[in-house]
Amino acid sequence: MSSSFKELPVISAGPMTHRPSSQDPIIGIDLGTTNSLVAIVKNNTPIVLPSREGRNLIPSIVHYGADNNIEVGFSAKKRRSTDPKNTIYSAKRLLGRGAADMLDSGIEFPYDLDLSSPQNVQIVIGEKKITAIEVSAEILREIKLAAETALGRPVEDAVITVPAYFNDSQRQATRAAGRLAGLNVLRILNEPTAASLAYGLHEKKNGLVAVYDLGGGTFDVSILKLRDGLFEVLSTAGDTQLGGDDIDIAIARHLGLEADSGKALIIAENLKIALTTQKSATFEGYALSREQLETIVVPILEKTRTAVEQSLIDAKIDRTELTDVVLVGGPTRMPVVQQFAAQLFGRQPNCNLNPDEVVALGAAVQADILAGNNRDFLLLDVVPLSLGIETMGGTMNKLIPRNTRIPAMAKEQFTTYAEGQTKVAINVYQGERDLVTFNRKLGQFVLAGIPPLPAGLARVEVTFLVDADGILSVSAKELYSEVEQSIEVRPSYGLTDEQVEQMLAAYLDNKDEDLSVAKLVEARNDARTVLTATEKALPKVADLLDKNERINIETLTANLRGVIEKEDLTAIKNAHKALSDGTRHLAELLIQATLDKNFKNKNVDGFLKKG
Amino acid sequence: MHCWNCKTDLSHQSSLGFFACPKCSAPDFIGTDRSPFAVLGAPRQYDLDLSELEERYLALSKWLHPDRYATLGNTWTKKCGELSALVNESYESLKNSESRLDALLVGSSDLAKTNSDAIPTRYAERFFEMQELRMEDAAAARALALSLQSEIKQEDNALLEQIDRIARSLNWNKPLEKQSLLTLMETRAKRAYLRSLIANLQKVLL
Repeated sequence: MSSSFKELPVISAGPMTHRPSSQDPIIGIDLGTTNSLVAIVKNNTPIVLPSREGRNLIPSIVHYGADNNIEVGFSAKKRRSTDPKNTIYSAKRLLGRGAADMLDSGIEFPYDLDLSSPQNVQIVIGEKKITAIEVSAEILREIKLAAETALGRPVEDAVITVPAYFNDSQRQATRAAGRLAGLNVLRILNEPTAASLAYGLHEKKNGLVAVYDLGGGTFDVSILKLRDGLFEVLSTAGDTQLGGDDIDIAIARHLGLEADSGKALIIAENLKIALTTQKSATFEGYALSREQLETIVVPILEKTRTAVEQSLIDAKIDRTELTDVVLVGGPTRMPVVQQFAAQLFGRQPNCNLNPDEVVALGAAVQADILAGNNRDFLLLDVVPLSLGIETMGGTMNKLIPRNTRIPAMAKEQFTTYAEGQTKVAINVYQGERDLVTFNRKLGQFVLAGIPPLPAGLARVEVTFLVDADGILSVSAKELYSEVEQSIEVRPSYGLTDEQVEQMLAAYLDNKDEDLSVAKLVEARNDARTVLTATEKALPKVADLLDKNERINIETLTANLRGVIEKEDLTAIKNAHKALSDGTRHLAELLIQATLDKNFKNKNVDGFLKKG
Repeated sequence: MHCWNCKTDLSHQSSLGFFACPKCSAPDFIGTDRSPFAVLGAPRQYDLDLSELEERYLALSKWLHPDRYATLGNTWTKKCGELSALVNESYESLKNSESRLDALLVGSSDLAKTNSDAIPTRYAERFFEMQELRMEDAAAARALALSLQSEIKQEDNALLEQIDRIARSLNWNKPLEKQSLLTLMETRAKRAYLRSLIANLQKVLL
């Protein structure tokens, strides 16, 4: 080697990239097909936050009752057998999908779908029609409330995970659902990548890791290289219409039940869960053995084989080079899935992590990275599907091939094919097939104002830019005339941005602001601060106060204690104010005492801060 | 030229490539040469130390990735996203020898017109023979396809070694000599053709 690399500049003092701790925390959300979870990093350790129902997970189920009464979670799950038409589960399988996608997938739901609009699947609830985005927003709203309740402070910023194999419209739809729930989505993160972050933090090992993520409705496989805090995704592959749901449906069919009835799926799910620990199980008169379950499940698992092989080819590694296999998703608890994965990768999978929680924990780790708290970790992810434009003859011209590292940029020049052509249509597609008709159209725009030139002379330069969320924007420029046009490709994912903003505004208008849990939580915390401070201070200055004043303060303290756990924001605020007013003299005495150095080194923070 | 963030005058900045603004540390790239070699600060040659290349890529990613600047808002993440994309694209092109050669040949390819006579036609004839045979005797056609494929693969490997040899010996910092350029381009065209044959045979075999 004759010459060497140029030296990099020494970065002396970087800019301030630490999020101030006074700012509200960033949460990590696993918005799952079956269950959703929320987590946060505390003292460098990610933890799952409890739901308002006191559980770690929230079933991704929304029940639309009479009088606009909406329930989310376990309470909604109970309605599945009694009110299946209004109990929406697995909405994630509809997110960002068109009617054609649904007809192709062949999945059935006990609730009614309106497939009349090709771009946009709608769910029919009585007289109303809603999109999967709105259903997902209800789940995210519940998650936001759970986090606010658990943390005792308002939450707005979030990282939300999606299956790695989600296309652009499914990602955009997830973003829109977050927005609709009043969240500021800082990052759309791939689920297997999130899992690898939690794995890396837990196992502290370098190497080549395969993440086999079989969720409720989607399957992903990712190959990653882990090295000293760097998480490089080498490849990803998957199937967005394959998961635990399919196993339940197959079990129901095996039992001779109508697969689209809510009841049948409950029976199937219970038998499946019982068989993870038992050799045979019976539920409501239906019996199933583990052997029978295996013959039902293996054909479904076989569908993951192609994706796994593709991911290894794309990563340019042999399966023997893998140092670990991580299983993610509830269905991987089933012994048959673990055996299948072991055989597929030629090694025993790692079962040290909780497959239900690992994605949420990883999302929290990424949130911590974005907050600037974790400078040791960095994630380098890829695009799951190729991105390109349509050229003559309907062929797909790929600008960014699948598994390209993001952020990614690509430029390519095209020309006109007709004499004097002054406009070109730029059709943007996502997918692997050579003909665009088999791929998914993300958007279209027209570059006009090209000077009339002989065919083949105009030079149109198309630029693709994919950001760290895996979302694409496209611009085009005619190089002679410098006519330029750029769009953020907005695939039709079900709602327009304007619709999302309108719905959010309507929601915020309708909800009684004082009932907002966030405000309640905040008021409670403020009240607690004053209570603690008062109780600490009172004995110290007791002899300086007259008896009436002392009794008054004790009464006010008791009043505040009495209302603090109630759902009445005004009562808490009033009692808080009364106590603050009643302790003004006490505070003055304390300050005076501090000045007199009689109270040197004693904690009076609560009073000084509140004034 | 001024810093995009704090508007400090950077006209005294002497070195080309990535740098950090001396006042506010905002990263940027200086220079009109945006070839992958310039972006990664790699020597302009075919024979690169791949582990050194990877180290450089990771160091730049750690510095420039937009996740490092998420707290500073959209302007920062957008700018650093673009810088990061430039690094990713450059690494992709230098990582494997074939696209690295493409990068070295940018700008010189017009100098040499590929001679179409260079394409070996003998394989095409045998390929069509095999196609016809499929109708009569599938097993025999398969055997023929297999042997043809392994023969082509051998020739392809020999061509690859030839490219490697030439590309290593050249001084890529000087204008290229026309004859070696012509040989390189021809050999590449041959390989492209042979590999399309291999792919077609693979389809038949599956």
